[in-house]
Amino acid sequence: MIILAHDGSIYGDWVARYALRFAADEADRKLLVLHVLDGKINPDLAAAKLAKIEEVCQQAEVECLTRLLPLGKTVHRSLRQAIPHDPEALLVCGTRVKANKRSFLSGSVAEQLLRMHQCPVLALRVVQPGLLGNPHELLVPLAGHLGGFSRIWPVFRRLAAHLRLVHLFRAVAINPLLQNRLTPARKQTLRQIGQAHLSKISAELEELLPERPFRLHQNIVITTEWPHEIMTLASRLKVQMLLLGVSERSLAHRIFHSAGIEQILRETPCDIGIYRGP
Amino acid sequence: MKVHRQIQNLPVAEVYHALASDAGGLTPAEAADRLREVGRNSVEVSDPWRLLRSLMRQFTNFFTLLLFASAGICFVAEALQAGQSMLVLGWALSGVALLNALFSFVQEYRAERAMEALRQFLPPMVQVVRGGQTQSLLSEELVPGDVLLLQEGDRVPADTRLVSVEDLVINNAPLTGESLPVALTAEPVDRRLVESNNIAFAGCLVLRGRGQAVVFATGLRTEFGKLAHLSQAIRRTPSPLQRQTSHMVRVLTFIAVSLGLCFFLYGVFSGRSLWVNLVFMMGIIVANVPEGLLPTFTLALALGSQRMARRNVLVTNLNAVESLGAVQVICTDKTGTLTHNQLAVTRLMPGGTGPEFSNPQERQRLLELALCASQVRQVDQSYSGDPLDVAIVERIVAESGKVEPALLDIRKHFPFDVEKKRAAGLGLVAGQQVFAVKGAWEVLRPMLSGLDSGHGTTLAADPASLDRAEGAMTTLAATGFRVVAVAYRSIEAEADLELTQDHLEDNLILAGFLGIEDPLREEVPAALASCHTAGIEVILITGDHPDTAVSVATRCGLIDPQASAEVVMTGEVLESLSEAALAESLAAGVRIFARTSPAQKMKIVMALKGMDRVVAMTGDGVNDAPALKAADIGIAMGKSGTDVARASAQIILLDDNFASIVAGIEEGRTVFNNIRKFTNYVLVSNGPEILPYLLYILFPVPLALTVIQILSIDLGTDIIPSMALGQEPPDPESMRQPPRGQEFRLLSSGLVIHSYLFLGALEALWSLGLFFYVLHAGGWHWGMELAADNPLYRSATGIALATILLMQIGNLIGRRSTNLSGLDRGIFRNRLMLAGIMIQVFFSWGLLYLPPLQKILGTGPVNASIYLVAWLGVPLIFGADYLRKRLRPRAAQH
Repeated sequence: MIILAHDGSIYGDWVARYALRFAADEADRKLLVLHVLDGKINPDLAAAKLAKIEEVCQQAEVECLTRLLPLGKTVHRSLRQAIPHDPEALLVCGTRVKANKRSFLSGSVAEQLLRMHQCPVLALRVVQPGLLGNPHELLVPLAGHLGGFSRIWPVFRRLAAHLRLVHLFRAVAINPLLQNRLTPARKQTLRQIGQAHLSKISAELEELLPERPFRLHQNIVITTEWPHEIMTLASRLKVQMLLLGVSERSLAHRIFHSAGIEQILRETPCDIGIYRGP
Repeated sequence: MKVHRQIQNLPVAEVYHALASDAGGLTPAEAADRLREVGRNSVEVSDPWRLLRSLMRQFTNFFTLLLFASAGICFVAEALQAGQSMLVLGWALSGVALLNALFSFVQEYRAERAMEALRQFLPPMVQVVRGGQTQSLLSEELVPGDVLLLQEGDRVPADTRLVSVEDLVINNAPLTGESLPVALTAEPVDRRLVESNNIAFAGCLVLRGRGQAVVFATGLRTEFGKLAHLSQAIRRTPSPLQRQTSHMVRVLTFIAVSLGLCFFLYGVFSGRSLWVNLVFMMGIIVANVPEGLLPTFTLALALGSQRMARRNVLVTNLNAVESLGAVQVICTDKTGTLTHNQLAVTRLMPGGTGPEFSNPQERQRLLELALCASQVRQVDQSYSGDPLDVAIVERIVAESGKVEPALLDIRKHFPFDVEKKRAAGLGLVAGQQVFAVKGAWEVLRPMLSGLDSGHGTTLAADPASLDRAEGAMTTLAATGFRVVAVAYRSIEAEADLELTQDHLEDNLILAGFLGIEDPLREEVPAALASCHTAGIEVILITGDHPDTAVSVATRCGLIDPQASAEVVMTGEVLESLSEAALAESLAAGVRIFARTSPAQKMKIVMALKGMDRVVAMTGDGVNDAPALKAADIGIAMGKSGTDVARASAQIILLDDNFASIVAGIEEGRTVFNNIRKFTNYVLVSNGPEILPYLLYILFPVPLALTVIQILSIDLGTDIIPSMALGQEPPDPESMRQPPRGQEFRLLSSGLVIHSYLFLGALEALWSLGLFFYVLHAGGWHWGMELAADNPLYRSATGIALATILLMQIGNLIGRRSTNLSGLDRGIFRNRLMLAGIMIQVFFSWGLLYLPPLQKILGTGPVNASIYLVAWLGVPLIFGADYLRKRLRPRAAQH
């Protein structure tokens, strides 16, 4: 089952495209749409939007359940109470620009939902509504954690069926002071480290999807600035979507990591999906 | 309902719904909502701190910091003990640091102009429908869902899905590099978004017709925006020289500061006063740092760029002068660079049998049919239009002396369509109305019902005769010709002009083939041979057919005539490869990329850079800009290049000629060799500058050289000789050596030993020998202290300085050649060198005998015979160095 947290805005409609497309590929073809009546959107308008989604679902032969939730203590809490505990489900939500125009994820409902453990979560930043929630080229930056592909799998498997090309990307981070002093041999060693990690992930993916419909490319870059490299690569490869993991690790790591994520969310050349990383 | 579709796959009726819009457009409130979500429709990456960051970077590099620190010490010293000219010194050092930093900043600032050129591709105002009303709107305010009106002459402001078209023809050159027009439709297509002809992409120009479209991507999310993002975001890797100088400065700074601090502490613990220790530490630092070296680098590069300009290579960034010399791989275009980009129809073959038309009338008929499918206008005495069409007219003129005006009066023209790979026209040929098509054989073949035999008869288009025709076409293509097939059918005079191309393209008769040649530039084979000798690999990247590419590559010597087919890779294969797999193919010997798109250049550059190669890439189109920036050296075409390509490149070829690149490489290598020569030259004088300070701190002897005297060498007398070495002409050997590897160091251990421990030691010994001789002859004894204004001390320090200046003449001549004496190159051939020698001679004399110089430098006169002994240092250093060159093992001489 796919669960969609819809905020009633046009942005929510763009996010709904992804949810609908995922639901159409689910075994149970079920979509649960939740909207919290937080007063920002007229309840009638919200109801009309949900009705429209129901209509589209009907055309696509997807079973649609819609729920208008009364506002509890917070929007996040109201949603949490309505989201079923189901590790097989996927919660899809949007992450929008805040009033200060600086942050997208930090402090948002999407960020709180990403920390929730009831089911896997995908927070989306949609900037290309013309894709209609159906990207064909995907860039997957991987940070080299030992966890492998397991965290990304619930999201990836739902995107995989219609992908044509997937780029696995590993940015091997180095100290800026060393940047211009790396010998070719050292660079080669660092590339090999990145290559080994991506090869492991590719093998894992091969096992999970023996007859994958897409081509799989690997990209390794030695860099001092991973957000910059991710955005440059996304533009260069003309990918239609980026899948990024947010960290659950130490506070310090989260602070530095989230600054990079925010930068990518702000300047992204394509749609972004954010999942909970290791 | 299908949910796995993108905007290009939808029928018009669903497009509005998918983007939550309608024919009446968005309401202002909806538009405002969307603007808040996706931001303004601008392709500029907002970075308000970019300039400040760049400026800070220049002021925080090691060398600048070191110079400022030295200046700071001077100011402190002046405050502690005024009257020692420390203030002047401090300002001089600050000035050098400031100039260096500002110069680098201006260089970097000027290099970031690509965005200005890119901005020209987006219109400032657009016509949209909002709230049911047509209105003019700032292009930046467009949002997904806006209904846009397009008409002839408009630039498309965002990526849009067409919902209605009226004969809409667009030029996609900024994105695809393909200058031929593309007819657009509003019908759904089953292709990738970027290949869809129902999408009008941002930055492209409407050539004809009108249309209505719905915006689905804006700003950096458009295809043009991604290109613009790359043009701004890609950071040039530091040039080889920047990396080398950075390494050299780090090493020299480390030595200077470590020595300075060690001896400062030694002085403090040995009970010397703080002032003496400060002066001493500053002296050690100043003596170790070649202050004039980096400004001289800049001057040498500037002079190199002037010489390059004389060889049609315009340099927009000084570091590119030397980088070009370090190039290991050149990725070059074919058309215009290896060839003249002047198409000529040189072969005319019948469609049926036979090698070539023998009958002039039949040749004329084939050309006239081809012209019927062309669009050419006569402008004064020449013709304008597509280069192929113009080539056809020119061949007609060559055949019959003129072109009948009726031939140019085409009743209806169907322009070349990239998707259809053909152009067509309806007109009069030999008084009869015909519909003629010219284009790729593979698209014409299924439409044929007959073939002109070349003897006035028509053969049936059975598989055997079609195969024969294909064989003839393939043979022609394999010999390097671009082959265009021409077919026709007769049409009744009163035929309906509204008939579409699809209706007319039936029952065609193959009239023949045109063999089109773009002649090779005469200088190219020699230039490529020179590249091979110089160990530079050349890779050809072209949109042409593989056979054409191989033929040109063979003719110009890029590949061996016996080379296997594995040297060629098509764009289709390239697209399917990952960068790692591409790097493997390149390592395995792929040298030609055919049927490629300009966007694929970037992939090739990145693969080569992943192999740690220094890459030069040529380009002329807007979409070449990212590859030009990503390469170590971006080379734009001066004649045929776009402003964006020129602004993204570091080098502009004024004549678009490949041979000029090779000439530039020779100049680049010469510049690096000359930089090595004067680095070696300048570091030699560091030896005699450092040793007096070590002796002064370790023994009870006077200081042989003061700080101001050291600076008079580093920032004074050494500058002109260094510049003279920077102007040395190319060494014939330079293009017979392979490119230097990434591991090569400007400040190698060999160079340090030679500079400091051999020639530097010789200069130090000879100058200090005379210093102590003068002191001894004047009555000085071991341990005796002398005041700075003591005449004996002034004479002794004067002769030490004069000796160093004179010995630098021997050093200078020796530096001109790595293996020979240096005299063989002729002193009078390099006038600046002569000037440098005269300066050294004049100052060595003047500081001893001219009162104004004596006053500034704190020197005094010596006996003329001692001055003559100082002159012996010239043959001493020159002879010793020459002996070293002669005794060196032969293998080490290269």
